[in-house]
Amino acid sequence: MPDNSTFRAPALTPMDAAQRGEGPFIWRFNLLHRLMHLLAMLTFYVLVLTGIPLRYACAPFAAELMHMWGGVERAGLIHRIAAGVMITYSVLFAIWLVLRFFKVEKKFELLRGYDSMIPNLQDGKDFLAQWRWYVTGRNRPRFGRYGYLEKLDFFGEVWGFIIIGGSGILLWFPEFWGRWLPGWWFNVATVFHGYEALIAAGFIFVVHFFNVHLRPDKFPLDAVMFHGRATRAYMEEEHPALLEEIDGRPGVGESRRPRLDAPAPPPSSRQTLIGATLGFIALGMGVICIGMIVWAVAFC
Amino acid sequence: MNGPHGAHGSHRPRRFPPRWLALAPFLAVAAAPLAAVQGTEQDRRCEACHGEVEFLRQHAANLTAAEGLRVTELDLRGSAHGEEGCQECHSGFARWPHPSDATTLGCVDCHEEATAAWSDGIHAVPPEGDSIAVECVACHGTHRIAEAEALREGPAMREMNDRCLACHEGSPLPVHDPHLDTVPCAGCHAPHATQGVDEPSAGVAPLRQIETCGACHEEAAEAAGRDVHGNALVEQAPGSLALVELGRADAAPTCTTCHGGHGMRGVEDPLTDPELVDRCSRCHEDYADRYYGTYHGKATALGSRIVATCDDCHRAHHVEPASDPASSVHPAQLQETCGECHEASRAAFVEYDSHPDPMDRSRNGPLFYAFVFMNTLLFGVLIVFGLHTLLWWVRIGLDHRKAGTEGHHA
Repeated sequence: MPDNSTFRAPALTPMDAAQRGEGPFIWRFNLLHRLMHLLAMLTFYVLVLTGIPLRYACAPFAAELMHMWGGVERAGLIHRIAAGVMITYSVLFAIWLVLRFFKVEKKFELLRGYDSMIPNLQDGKDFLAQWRWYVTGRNRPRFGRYGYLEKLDFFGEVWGFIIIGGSGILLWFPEFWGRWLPGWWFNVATVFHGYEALIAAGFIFVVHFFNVHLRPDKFPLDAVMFHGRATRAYMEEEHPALLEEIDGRPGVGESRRPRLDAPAPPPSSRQTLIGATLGFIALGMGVICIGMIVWAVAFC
Repeated sequence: MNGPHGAHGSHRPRRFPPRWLALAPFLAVAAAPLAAVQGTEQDRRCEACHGEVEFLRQHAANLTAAEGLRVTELDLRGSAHGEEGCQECHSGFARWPHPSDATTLGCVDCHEEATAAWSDGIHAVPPEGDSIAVECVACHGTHRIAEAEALREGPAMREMNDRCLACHEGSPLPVHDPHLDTVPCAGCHAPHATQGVDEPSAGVAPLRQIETCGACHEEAAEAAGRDVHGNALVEQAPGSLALVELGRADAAPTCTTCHGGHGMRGVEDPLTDPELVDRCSRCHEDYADRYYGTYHGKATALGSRIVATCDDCHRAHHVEPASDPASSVHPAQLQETCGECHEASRAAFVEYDSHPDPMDRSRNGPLFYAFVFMNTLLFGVLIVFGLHTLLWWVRIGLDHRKAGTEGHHA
């Protein structure tokens, strides 16, 4: 008979990378961050899944996917609705940013400060340091609140929004813009729209997904963007400079963004479940999208 | 024929002519169709034997032969020969037993013209592996012969088409074909002088399609015969067979080149548009490929029926080169042509390239540079960050190995 008293269950590694390791939880993303990310995710997938079959109309799955949406015209309508939602939240967010800029006293701090989203010289240094670390295995860059990868994700989306959104609005109302622009603009807009969409999808599915979820040390999922908090061990690994910043002050509450950097309760099992569900659905769809693009490129 | 008075034994003196005779012309007129339907006395005598398969069975070799001899007046009634008696064709057969020298008239004895046409056609030659040609009765039957007029439509036409299909098994029209059950096979393939589709004299031969299809589709055929396709066709009249060799740069299209033959689709059919583009693309391949690179082409390929296809801009039966001022795609006409769908309030609107080639700098410079820029960006991003991803993976693997077999969790 086995002696149960000596049996020890191995410590289970949480599936969610943000819940692994030692230490209390710290808030990483507030409700606005998470809401914006969720909206971006949803609209992005609707746009990609309605756009791919049109861009790769020659692919074997295109007709079936279009049929699923209810035909080309219906898919076009859904694409435009999703675009409208994306434009709405993006413009509202931009207005919010501008208002915040005018309201805040330390404008320089907001633009160039340590917490800023704006790329700076340190990001360039970190980028080079990252490649050096790949080669030498030494001096891995120690990211702060936002490393160059987060900034790339954000500004990549801003750039994509301007290029795809601009060309999309041009193609949406050709008769209207045709009053001022010669017709070849629509040829150019088609190329910009389709290629920038491909770059955006490629970046999200190949770079963002790997950096955030599929890296062997984070596999299979990092749900920090869904429930908003992460362990100290996670922060030590991913954003050590930010943790130093928080620790270096007398008490966490005195961080430069005290409400954001406050200690957090561990995510409940329901929050974990919701985070995992959203994350895995998005990951699965991303894999499907990449599969469709590769299939289409090979086929067409 | 005593009449009612005779039957009652009336004492009144008989009149001559009797008064009822005044009705005779009317009775004759009324009874005429009855006579035609019921046949003559002689015909009824023929039917006495030929209407009974059990009787015929005693004199025929087997049941099949007996059934072959069975003819009732129902068979003749309403047929093209409904007015004729049996004797018209089978004159020597009135007596029983039938005299051994009795002969039956051939169809040719009355229908000289049709027989002459037939003898020039493909059906006068026995089909391969057969010793008998496809003669009159193979298509028309023996006794239930439909009137020529009736063969143009309705059940008689369908029955005739079924007879064609009995041999031409592979040629039935698919259900989506607008000619199915509306046009007899002979409508396109000529009723008696039927020729093989490869013969220059066949009704469906390239050079004769304008005439054949034009018999019904007058307007389209007339226009198509005069546009760039029609002229190319006429110019190539000698050696017309080569015209159907698609893929030949100098091959001119005919009706069926664009519409298809058996299995063509109606204008309203949802698959008409994509099939049309495919057919145009067999000759204008590069244009079709580039069209498929535009929204018009992609949406058409995916089932949209409202975006422009070839014929929307180039016109179905009035196709002319862009250099022709009368062409719908001549620069001076484009604003109007595009304007049918897009309110083109500015002439420069039509600078849109419907068949763009982003690799061709001289055709559309901005498009070329946009294409090069976006490709550079795409491959730049994917290469730099693909490598960024790949090397990260490798680095983690190396660190992992260094840390020992235990594995290293942060």
